[in-house]
Amino acid sequence: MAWRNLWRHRRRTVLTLASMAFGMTLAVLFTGIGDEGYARMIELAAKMDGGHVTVQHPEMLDTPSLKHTVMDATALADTARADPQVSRVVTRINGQVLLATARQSKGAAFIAFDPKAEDPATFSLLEALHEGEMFASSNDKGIILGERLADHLGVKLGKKVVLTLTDKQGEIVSSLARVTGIIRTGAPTIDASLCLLPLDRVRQTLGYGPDEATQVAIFLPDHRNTATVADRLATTVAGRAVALPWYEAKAELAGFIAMKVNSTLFMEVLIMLLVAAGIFNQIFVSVMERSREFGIMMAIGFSPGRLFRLVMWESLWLAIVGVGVGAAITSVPYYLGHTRGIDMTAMVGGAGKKAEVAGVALEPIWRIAIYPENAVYILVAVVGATLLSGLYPAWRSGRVVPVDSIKLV
Amino acid sequence: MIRTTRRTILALLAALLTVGLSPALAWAAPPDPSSPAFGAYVMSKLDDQYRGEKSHAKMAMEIKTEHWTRKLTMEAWSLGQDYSLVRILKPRKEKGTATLKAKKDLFTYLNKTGRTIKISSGMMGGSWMGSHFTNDDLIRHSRLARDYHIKTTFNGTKGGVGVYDFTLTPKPDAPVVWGKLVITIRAADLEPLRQVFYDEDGAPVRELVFSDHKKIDDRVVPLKMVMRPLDSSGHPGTEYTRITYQSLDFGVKLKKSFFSLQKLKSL
Amino acid sequence: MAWRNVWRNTRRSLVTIAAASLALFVLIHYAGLVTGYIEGMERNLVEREMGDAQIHAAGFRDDPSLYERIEDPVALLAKLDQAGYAASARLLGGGLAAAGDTSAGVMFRGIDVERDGRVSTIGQHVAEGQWLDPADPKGVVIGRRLARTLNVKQGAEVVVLSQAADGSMANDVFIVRGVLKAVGEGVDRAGMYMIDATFRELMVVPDGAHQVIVRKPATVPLATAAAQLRALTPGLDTKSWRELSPTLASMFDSARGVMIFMFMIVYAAIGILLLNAMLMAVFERIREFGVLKALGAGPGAVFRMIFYETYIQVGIAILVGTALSVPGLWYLTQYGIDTGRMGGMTIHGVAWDPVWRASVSTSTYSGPIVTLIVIVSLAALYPAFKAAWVRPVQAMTHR
Repeated sequence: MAWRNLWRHRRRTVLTLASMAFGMTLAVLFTGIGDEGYARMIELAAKMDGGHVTVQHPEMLDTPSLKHTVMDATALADTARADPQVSRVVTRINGQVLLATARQSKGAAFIAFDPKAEDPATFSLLEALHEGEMFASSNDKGIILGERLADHLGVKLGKKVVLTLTDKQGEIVSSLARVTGIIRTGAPTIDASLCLLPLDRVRQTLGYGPDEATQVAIFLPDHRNTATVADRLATTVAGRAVALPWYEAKAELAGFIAMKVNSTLFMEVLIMLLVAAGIFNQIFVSVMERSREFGIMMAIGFSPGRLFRLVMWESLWLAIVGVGVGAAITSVPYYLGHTRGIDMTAMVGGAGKKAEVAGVALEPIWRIAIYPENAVYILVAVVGATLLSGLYPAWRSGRVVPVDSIKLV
Repeated sequence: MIRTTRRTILALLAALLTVGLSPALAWAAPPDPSSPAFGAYVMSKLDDQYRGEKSHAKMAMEIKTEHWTRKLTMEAWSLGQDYSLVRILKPRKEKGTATLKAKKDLFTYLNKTGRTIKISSGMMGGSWMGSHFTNDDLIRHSRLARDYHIKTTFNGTKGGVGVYDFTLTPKPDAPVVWGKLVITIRAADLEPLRQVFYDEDGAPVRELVFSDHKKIDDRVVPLKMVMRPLDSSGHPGTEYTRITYQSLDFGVKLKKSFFSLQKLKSL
Repeated sequence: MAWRNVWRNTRRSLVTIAAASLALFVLIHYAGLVTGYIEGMERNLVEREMGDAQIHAAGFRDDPSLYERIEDPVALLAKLDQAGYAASARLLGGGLAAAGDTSAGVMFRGIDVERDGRVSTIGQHVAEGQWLDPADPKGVVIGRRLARTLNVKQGAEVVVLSQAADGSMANDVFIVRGVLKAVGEGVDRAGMYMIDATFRELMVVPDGAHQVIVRKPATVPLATAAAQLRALTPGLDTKSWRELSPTLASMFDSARGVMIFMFMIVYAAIGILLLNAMLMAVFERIREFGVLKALGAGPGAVFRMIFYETYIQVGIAILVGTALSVPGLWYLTQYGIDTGRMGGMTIHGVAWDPVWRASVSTSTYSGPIVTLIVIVSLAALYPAFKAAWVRPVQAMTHR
């Protein structure tokens, strides 16, 4: 009976369903953009430096220095790899180096890694290799420079650069490297002050042990497990290192994402409110219009409670159909957004340009991908809002006084 | 520009610290000039002429750049390869400022404020005492005989003087920025006359000219050195740094304890 | 009659009014916050670091050396003052700062504290300690990250070393008077602000200046100001901040573009929801309209009546929405949203203010209001037509 009641006023029901569907679509799309967007930003940041969870010396975060090392990095890396929620683990050395050529010298930051163990999935910079080649091995005597850095030093591929570093004992050491490659990321700060070196060669130069490094970077296929993985590792490394989740290692990025997540949430709540207002209207009106009907029903023996349940069932049906229609309508834009994405290139200033946020270069194409739980939340919210909207009218329907209402025309 | 000038005066440091800081050394007789060992011998002599046991010297350094000219008077002590202390005597504004090298650490004491800074790797490119030296020059011991392949490329007369030219190319792993060095040695006494530094592309970057060779104690040392940056076609510019030794003493008594931070301040 | 109609069904009208008011409230706040975001970023850049325009000696930007100076900054500043521009001169030079065992490359910035306060708000961005004071010539204020690298806090000693203009060794010991909040990459990493007299003595630069920062009056557009300034400074290199940082300029422009895109989506969403509300409101009254027409009202009359009713409701909604927005926006402009943890984040090298404030102008209100009226008008069209052309008999028997 509740079902039939719904369809008695087809137009009104359709309108309400339309607004529910629309609200749902908006919510899903926004959340989808967000979920995907943030996951990507986090992934990008992880791939640039540090991974999702970073294991490093306890003092490294506050006072970066080549003296603050992790002694048994290899063993730690193995332990981390065994974790089921972890996909990749790499070992690195990061620090500052002075680069000198016959005519110029400049300080730069360096990242030393094992070219055999890493690829663009762990180190996004590798994709930015513009000229030349990657190191042949971890012992290679090459160096890869950011494009602007290379310009400043006046070197090209194959030319030599003398590296000067302060080793673990605080002594100054030098070694020679030849430019094997040039990277171009488009982000000005990176291209002008970053260089890449092979891990074992740097270990030798700095006098590190064969298992020593400054950072173990851990990558997760699902960034939402970061906290649990970090906690597990923290107990393993306690005393000699810390396991930092990305949101502690990169607090600024975390803040940015938090802000965006909150504002999206805020918008969704608003949309839900507006939708709920419409639903409330619909149900209330239908109840009011049927006062006479309800009066008659009560007169013939329907209890207020039954009327209440009747109206609530109508709400529920409304909710179910609404969700169904909503899902159907959402699927088209979602599919498009998921596979092709929204191209914001024009907004960012043309092809090839990237926005740089907290040191991370971002792609200008927005893809949509919603985490299943969030989709469920939205569904529940829609159904919940509908049911809630139905409460008051349902209650009112039970308060109808039969005699009065039957008198109504 | 000051920058290129600074960068071009690498070996001046070595000269500064060691010419005149070299002791009396008895040299074995040189091998025959036509033998392959000759070059290595001469370069070793050059290297060792710049190293020594103990020394004490006073020198004047004149620096001319595009924007200013400066004269400094300095006093220097050295003990072996690991210890040296250089102190500014003039101008008065900087009197007392000193640089201490102890093993692989480098410190600069600034008289004006009484503070001492430890020179870290990032500062290696920076200028030493306002000169064209870099701090890096002070620390680095690039040993010619060890870090370069040596070939005799000329044997004859230039400007009426019999000379040898040695062309030095860095060994593959030597941490030196140069592509090539050409050193001109006087044939008669195997004293250095000129050293030209080339970058990897073969362009001359700077030259070091030695003169005023004198016998001090039992060795011959050039008392004057001038380092000049060269432009890309090899012509000297207007900038230079000239070091002239005013006094040298190899018989001075020195102990390691002399080379300490406290000494820096109390001198 | 329209008025009475509105109040005949209070509940229905109230719901519609409430929906429209809420929509307006949201739109106004959204407009305020978004404008605040974009303007905030630009303002950070202009007010704290770059100024609206900068003047340098002709060769300085290509080769930033101690020797490329503007020769007579005093006269130049006087000229700019007269032309109505706020300006201040700065001295720039590179060097080294050391504390304990660590050292870092720094950029000294010698400023005239009083004048600088007219062109830059950086003096208000001290996180720890205080800004410069001419009475404390050895007090310096350093960037956030520099403080971290050197591991110093307020009150700590820092030794500086550099090469003075006459070739001598410039060195001195300064006290950290303050540490800045995040300003931008360059300043955070290597910025050391000092009194201009201190710089002059340290680096032996008795006259001249390396950079003049200029702020234009608010009413003058940037391009015009740049042109005027160039006319006033022959022989010198004068550029607006957009010309000096084209990537930043395009980033801000694109941020605006993205925001407008979001705006449109929000407006569309709200529009559709309102449309729904209005449609329902009209369809509920189909019988009523049937009666009216049966009584002789023509389609035009019905049409007009609906529109009047709509506008009355919207009018009330506007009043309510605006009234409620005023305190909300006031709060947001004064206190803003504290994004706390983000303090110090940089976007494209420009620091983000941890407190997100709204920026309010007439357009913050007028934009959403006008849009609401337009949306509502459009939303009312279909139902109004339907109502106007309803056939009396059918309508009256409509269930």
